[in-house]
Amino acid sequence: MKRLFLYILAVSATATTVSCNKLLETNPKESIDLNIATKSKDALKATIISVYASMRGSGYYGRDFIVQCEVLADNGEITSSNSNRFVSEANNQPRAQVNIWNACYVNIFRCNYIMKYIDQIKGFTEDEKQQLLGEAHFLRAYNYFDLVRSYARNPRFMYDFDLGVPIVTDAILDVTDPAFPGYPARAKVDEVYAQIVKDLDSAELKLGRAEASSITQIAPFRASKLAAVALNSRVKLYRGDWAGAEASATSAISLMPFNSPKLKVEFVSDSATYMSKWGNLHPEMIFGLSFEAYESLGTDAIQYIYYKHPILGGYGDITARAELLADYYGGTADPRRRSLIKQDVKSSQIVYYCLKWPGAKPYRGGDDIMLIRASEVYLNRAEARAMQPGKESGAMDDLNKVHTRTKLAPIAALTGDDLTKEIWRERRIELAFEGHRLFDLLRTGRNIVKGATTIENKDYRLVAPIPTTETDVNKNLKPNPFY
Amino acid sequence: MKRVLLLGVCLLLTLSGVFAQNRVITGKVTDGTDNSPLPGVTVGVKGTNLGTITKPDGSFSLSIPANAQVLTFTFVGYEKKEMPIPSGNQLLVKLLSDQKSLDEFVVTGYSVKRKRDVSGAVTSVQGKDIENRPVQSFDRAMQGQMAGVQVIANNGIPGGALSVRVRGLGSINAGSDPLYIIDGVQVNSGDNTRNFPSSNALAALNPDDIETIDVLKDPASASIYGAQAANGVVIITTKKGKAGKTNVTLGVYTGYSERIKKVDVLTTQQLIQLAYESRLNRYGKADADSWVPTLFGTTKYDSLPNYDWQNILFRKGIIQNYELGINGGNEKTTFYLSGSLNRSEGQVIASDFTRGTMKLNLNHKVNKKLEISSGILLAAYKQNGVNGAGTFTNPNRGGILLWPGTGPYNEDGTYNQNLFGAYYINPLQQANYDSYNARNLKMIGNLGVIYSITNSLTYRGTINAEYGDVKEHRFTDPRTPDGAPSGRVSDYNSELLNWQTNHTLNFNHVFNDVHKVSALIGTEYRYNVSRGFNTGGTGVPSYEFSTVGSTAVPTNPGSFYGDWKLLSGFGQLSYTYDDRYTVTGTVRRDGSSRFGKNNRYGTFPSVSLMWRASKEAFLANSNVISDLKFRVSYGQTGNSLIGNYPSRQLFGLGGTYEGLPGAAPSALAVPDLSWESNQSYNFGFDLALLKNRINLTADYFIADRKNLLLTKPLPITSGFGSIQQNVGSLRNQGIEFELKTVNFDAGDFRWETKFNVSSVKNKVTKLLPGQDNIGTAIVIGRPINSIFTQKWAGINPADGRPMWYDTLGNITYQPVARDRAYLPGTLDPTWYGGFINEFTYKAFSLRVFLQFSGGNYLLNQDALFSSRAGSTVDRNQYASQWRRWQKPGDITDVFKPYYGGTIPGTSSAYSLSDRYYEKGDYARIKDITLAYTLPKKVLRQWGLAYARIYATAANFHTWSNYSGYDPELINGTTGDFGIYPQSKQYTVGINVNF
Repeated sequence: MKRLFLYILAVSATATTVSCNKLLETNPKESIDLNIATKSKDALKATIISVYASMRGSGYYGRDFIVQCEVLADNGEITSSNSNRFVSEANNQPRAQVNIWNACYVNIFRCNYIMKYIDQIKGFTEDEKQQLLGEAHFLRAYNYFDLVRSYARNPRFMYDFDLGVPIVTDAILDVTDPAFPGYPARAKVDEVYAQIVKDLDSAELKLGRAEASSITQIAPFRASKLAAVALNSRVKLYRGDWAGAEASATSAISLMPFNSPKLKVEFVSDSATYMSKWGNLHPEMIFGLSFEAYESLGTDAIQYIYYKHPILGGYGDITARAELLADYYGGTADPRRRSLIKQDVKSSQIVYYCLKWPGAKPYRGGDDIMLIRASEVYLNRAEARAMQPGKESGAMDDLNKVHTRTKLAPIAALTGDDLTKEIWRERRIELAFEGHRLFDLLRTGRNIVKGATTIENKDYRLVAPIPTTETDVNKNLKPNPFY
Repeated sequence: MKRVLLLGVCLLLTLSGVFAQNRVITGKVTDGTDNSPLPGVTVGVKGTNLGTITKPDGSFSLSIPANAQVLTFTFVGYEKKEMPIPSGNQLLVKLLSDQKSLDEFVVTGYSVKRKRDVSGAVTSVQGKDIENRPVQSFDRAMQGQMAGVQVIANNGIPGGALSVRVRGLGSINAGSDPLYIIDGVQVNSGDNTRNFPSSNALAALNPDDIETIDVLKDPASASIYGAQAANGVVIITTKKGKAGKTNVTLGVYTGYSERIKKVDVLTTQQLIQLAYESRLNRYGKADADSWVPTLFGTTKYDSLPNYDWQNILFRKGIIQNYELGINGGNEKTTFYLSGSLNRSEGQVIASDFTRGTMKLNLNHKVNKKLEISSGILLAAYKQNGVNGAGTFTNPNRGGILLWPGTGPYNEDGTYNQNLFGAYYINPLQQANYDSYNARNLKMIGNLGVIYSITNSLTYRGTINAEYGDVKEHRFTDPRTPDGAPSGRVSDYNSELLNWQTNHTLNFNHVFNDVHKVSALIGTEYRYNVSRGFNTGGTGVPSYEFSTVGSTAVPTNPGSFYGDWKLLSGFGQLSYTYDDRYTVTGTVRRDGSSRFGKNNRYGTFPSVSLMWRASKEAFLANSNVISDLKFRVSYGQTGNSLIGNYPSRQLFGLGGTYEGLPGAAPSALAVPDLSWESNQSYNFGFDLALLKNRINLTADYFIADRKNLLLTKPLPITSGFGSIQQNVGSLRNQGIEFELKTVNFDAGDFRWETKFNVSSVKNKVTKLLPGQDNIGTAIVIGRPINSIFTQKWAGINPADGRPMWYDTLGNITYQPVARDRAYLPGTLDPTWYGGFINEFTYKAFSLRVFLQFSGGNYLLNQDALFSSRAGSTVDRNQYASQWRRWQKPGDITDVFKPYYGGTIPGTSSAYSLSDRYYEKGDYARIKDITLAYTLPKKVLRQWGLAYARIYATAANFHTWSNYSGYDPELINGTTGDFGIYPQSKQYTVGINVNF
């Protein structure tokens, strides 16, 4: 017995002093070591997936970013009985703004990570590489675009404040690296737009190359050459690069119809088809985000806030403002007013729900988030043409292409401001509730008019505050004026 | 403790040799209460090594020298008895069972010490002080019983988790829970569910199986547990068997629980009147005259019904508890076996707790040197619950917020699915149709080998295991608005395996009668792994199907895994001179898998000094002072309650998309990450007066919590939000008193009092370099959980607008962020304690337990939500809103009803200010018990050894100014938002021994 005891004691003593580290090894299973990941092709491919998944979060395109851009502007208001969501945004209270800074920079970091490590990982075919890099450039551009249009002034209406957002293109993983974490200052608005266009051009090239070979076409729910070109037309329109916007739009239109296994993407001329496809693989969708049943945002989904579905339920907190309803051509004569706006009664209030996220699938929160679609590209081109002398008739053609699809009579030829205003009106109706309105007003110098209240284009509240968590840490970041 | 005594028995046996003997004395030892024979009693001759042990019939026979004067009788659990040797050879001895002797020992970690020898700050509560109370877990029963041990219920859910804080809140980002040790097994605590509102991991142990709870408060006592001990150590010892007659105990109690308080809310008619006024004040009479009738569809408001939703959603819940215990044994083997069944329905509909437990403690002496001790606890418990927090289906919130004009049922008896207002979901239907539950299985086992190498040196080795299995199930019925269209199911399964082994060598010896040396060295290894998965689905064929397998569309699959390891070596050396001076030094070295490779090991030393003044010549003969000792200690302990892999660089999961998994870099390596430490001084004394009739213990401590893990924020442009660093500090300072007195003890009447009170102050002393605050709650120089808010100035009598103060103390109608100020207190109580009076008269006893706490503020979130003067017509509101301002000159605290709540030129009347932070002070009769012990005569007729009947009222009465449901709740920035309140319980019960 004594010997046994001594043996145990000896073993214990040895254990505590010698082989401790071995005994203290643990192995996380829900994560893996980063050093392994930076050498893995599959891990890098999973990284791009995480960016799509993140953009679909309810704080970003899953709900908030789209809804906020509509209620901060003049399309939507909050029903009297409500769930207390988006109320302060609808009242344009200071700091009640979009909040995508953190999500966007994490997404940008992941894209940078892909671009940085792809060359040191073995096993990629050239096409796979081009595809992955093309997606990374596209998504990086998209995130920078959302950042710069939310947190900075439009390049055409800067009101003496020309700072954009910091441009970061590296991904540092070592905390001992002197460049870590980096305290970047804000680049100029124009530099950010230039970076976005550069990324989209790269995306177009790389995705085009990959698509030309037999890589499976995965549009519309992942980046495609068509999506890159179409987004470029919007970015250039925001920038006031009219010729560039027109060229990109033309290029995008020439790429349609675009056949992917899921969808034939094209401008839909048939009104009935156009009205019926919302929420589930709309043929207009050049780029969008999808939800499998197990990914549903449930009660945080966009349908839930926009529409009180008779079966799926909903807060139904957003109703169309009178100004928007008045803009429809001939009121309910406009089929979009009839089919995509639903009049309902909520706690004795007459409300107008948006039906673009109609609860098209048998489960809650399954509706696709359509982000770039064919009609927008035509309207981009119409506007870009209208801004260029001598291209009015082309602009009218594009405008009427969208307008007459709804079986309304064509709009008679217009020029100058009348033409621009008509295009803006068409754009407001056509893209209502899709998250364009705030930026369309900001980039065209217009004010927001909500009943008796007017918020001027230059009002500081219309530019989102950079989160104080960020300005507190990074002293090189100049806050937006009045914040 | 008993083991030590048994060891002593072995020792005596070993030493008893054969000497010159002159005569043989025989006798019989029996229990003083019931005259049953006591086998295994050690009978010794004082001043010699001679002795024997009584036989199964209690008889003994012992040869004694002629000059022997006195015989000693010692037995576990009985008072030691000394007896002059009578002239005759026959002796009849009665031993009295001795609870007091049990009190005098405390388990101090890997060893048992006499309480009088303890030089650190240790407090204890006896099992009998917490038994038969209608609580589901012992941590709840500890509340108010011990100085320096603060127990705050997170909620009133039957079987819900609690927060126990020993000597204040000790961390900012790491955990604050103490280490719990049940019969030597370090167990997991806290809420062990991931989806269910709250399930207490410690509810597996039936509180009535507990013999003692000892809490090691200061680092000098706790440093033997090193890196796990910074928040104190709670050591639970369960009941053990006693050699002798087999004892069967039966306990039953039953009763009911009900709400403590009902919150006063408005009637339908009052709400309509307020709604009318709010429209009138905003849009004018014409609007109000048309809008209100349109909204309610009638003008005959008086005919509208009033439903009392609190009555609908609260109830009387039945409580039942059954326990059966058997214990006994002989000089070689003792056992304690108990089983229990508890069912406690909550006072909120559809919430309950059901538990079955089995506890077996088995000790066996193989031979004089080797002893095996083992214990096993098996428990299964299930909780049914309802949605909590801010959900629409939360009945606690619904009781206040639901519109009183619509009720739970339609005229045809079906559930009303479209209640008026924003809270349109019917919680009664939801609670009755949905199922939401957590099932726990728990096994805690300990196996120990004790080997006496020599008389002074003992080896002890143990293998301990804790296994837990939790299955959570949630079904949302498709017939309800929340479950529409086709129902939802989610299941969470998780498993815990925690095993430890430790090996110690204990040395105890007294040299030359005055130099007492005890030493301990040991090593320990712990491996803790938890894992689980969750899955769910939507779309069941019909509501009768509620399993995951019956759903059409799968949703939310997930899993988790976490493991950690701890490897330790420790030692303790204690020297006592002449029972007067004691010095003890302890050191433990721990290595934890959780920490960075540069800082994986930590050393935790402590030293303590004790001076027993009462043994000095100048006090030794005092008739007043029975015992007086002074204690000083300093020590260091660590806190390792952080995530499992915070120092690792990781690539983690990042959602799914289009059928593909996402993943991305998720954490950067922090190789320097290390322990949080608790460096603390303790000064205390223990004073006993008048033959221990008055016992006072007082302690003062300063605990510096250093190397606190703080989240160093990074610019998110780096791709990461933060990394953790060990840089923060805070200081806790406090005073603790425990007083036990026998106020009256004469004849048939006895009155005993136990009183304890603690005060603790907390101050943040250091944050990140250059950082003065983290948010507004954590500021250098202030306590954690400070409250920074707008200052309410009341209602302007002239126009009914709400007013606030600005920074200069002037009235403002539109306060801005800089107008906020700190309240004098925080969300954490700064004083707390308990006051127990026990009166015994003949066979009757009355126990009154008052528990109190205060110095804090509570955010009354329900009030914030429900104080709108009718300006939103979507919910019911506090009855106080009827006091709204109506005309110039009205002096009131409720603003003018104004539709939407934002009077032009005025901030929203609903905005948060200090008016919603209410004082959290309360005193409550936690427990009042009246008991009657049946007379022996009656018992004998029934063949019983003991019987007691009693009636208990728990949370019987509360003194508090808090306007919400209940002031006993955990602080939090969300206040009492939808928290399940505490309940009252009334029970009657009986204990019988056969």
